[in-house]
Amino acid sequence: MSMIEFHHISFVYNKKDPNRYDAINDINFNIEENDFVALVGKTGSGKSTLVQTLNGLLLPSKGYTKVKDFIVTGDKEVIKKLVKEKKYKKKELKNFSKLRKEVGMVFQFPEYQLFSETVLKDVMFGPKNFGFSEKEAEERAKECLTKVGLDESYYSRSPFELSGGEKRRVAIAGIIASNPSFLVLDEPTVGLDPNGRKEILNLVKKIHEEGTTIIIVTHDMETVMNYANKVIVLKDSKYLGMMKPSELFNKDDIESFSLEVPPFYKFKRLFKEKGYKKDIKEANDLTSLIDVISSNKENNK
Amino acid sequence: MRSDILGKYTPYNSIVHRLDPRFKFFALILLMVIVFLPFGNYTNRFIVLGILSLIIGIIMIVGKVSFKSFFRSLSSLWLMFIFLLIFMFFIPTKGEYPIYSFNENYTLYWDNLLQVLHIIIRLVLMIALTIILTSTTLPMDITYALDWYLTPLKVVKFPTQVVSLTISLALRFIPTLLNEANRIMNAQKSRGVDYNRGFFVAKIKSITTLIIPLLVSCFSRSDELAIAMEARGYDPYKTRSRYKSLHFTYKDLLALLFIILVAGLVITFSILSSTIGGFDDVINFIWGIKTI
Repeated sequence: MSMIEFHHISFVYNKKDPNRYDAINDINFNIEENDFVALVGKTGSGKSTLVQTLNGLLLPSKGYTKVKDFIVTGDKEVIKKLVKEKKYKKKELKNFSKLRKEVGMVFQFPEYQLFSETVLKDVMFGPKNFGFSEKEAEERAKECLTKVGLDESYYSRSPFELSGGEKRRVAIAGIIASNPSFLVLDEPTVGLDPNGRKEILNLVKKIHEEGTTIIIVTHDMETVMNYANKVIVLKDSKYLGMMKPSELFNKDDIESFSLEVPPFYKFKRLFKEKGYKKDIKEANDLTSLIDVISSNKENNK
Repeated sequence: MRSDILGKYTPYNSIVHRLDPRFKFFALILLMVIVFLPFGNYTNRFIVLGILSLIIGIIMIVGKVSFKSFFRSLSSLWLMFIFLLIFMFFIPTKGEYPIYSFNENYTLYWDNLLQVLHIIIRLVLMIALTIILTSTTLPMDITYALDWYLTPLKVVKFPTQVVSLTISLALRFIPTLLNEANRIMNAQKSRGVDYNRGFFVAKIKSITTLIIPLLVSCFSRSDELAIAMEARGYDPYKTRSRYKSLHFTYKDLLALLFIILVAGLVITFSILSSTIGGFDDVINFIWGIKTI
């Protein structure tokens, strides 16, 4: 059984209004445990809306999102059906605090969520809300701060006097401190310098290797290429498919998704266009590409 | 993004939307004033307020103001209602209709309850009026209207353009800040804050998790904005030209006449009721004039 299931979900903003806007439309797919999934698509394709249904911040107007055994839906018929079948109680379908412990959510510019006097207190805030004891929360907080690369000297500092990258790391520590099984990141690297970006992404990778399922919303195809093991493409509120990043970038009609192709694949395409005959489709990183090309040279000799 | 933000502009094309913002602003103030006029005894007050609610309700329907979001926004008035009730309970007043006498010094009167109801109705009407203005008028138009009303002050060298800039910036940033607040709330909800549950202390605690980040981002935003404006050579004391000019049409004139008529009637009634007495007395008085 899949860990996250989207069952034909749709979401409409401002339903009875001239501003009505269908953010996502009949989206239906599953995400497996321990995946590192990247969610791509151009601005306004519904990526953020989709991930916000994962912890009940938004309730799908139609269909339902299932995370482990939790159901998120605002669809009255689905609720009626589930209650009738006695699988869920109505109250359970409206209380998301347990679900929110399972699904950590890192928004764009997560540093805006900081509010406590000290870094340590801020990181402890999440776990304490989810029922960890004071002591446990402190342990978790210290552990996570170490994980994000902030040492003891930071504990008693005010989060507002830190640099942008540090703030962001504190914010991420505050989310992983509640020990979620899923981590959803909505463009976590916006506004960071290349080094800061790399640090955050390597941190995410580390978290993933420790057994957390990662869902990352991004515009940065380098991230998709280097970190994700699956990529989901959304276009105009619709689901276009889930594939391996290399499959996506090797597609000939990738322009129709309005995605920016990473330089490596541009290079490969150019290579083909200039008349290179040998099949380089399987070579998805620099070393294997060089191997393929050099082996070809030997053959020519 | 929240769809039910109180009094958010809705882009319909109703007659109320098309009216001149200067007129709408004037009408808002006028109607607010007459809602708060004294009308003598309680029968009078409730009859007049009833008629006014009817008129305001009709304007809301014509202007396609969503009743649903209006009533939802009123739900926060409950706290005020309870507070007022308690408050009124402890203020000893002399009324006409006693409910219960605790001792010879303290008697609870129906008048107290009616007083609370009266205050609440006035507040609701005031909120309704404000919502009509904001949901049928673009914020920029409201600023233009304000600017227009401030023009006479230019004679005494009052920097009206600074005031209108401040107002328009404040209005401009309401949706931005609401979005921001929404984003922060989502982030905090994901960290386990429940803004709906809990009472008083818990609520205040959860609100601080919203207010502090919001203030921080507010300050950084205003800093950035000031720098951006200076970088583009903005001088607050120069005369400014306008992208949109306002026109006062015959429709505005008709609406103005209607509002003045209503206001005139209500004000007359208010004066009459304060000098003559109850509703019946006023009716009798008018009838008397007629028969004479």
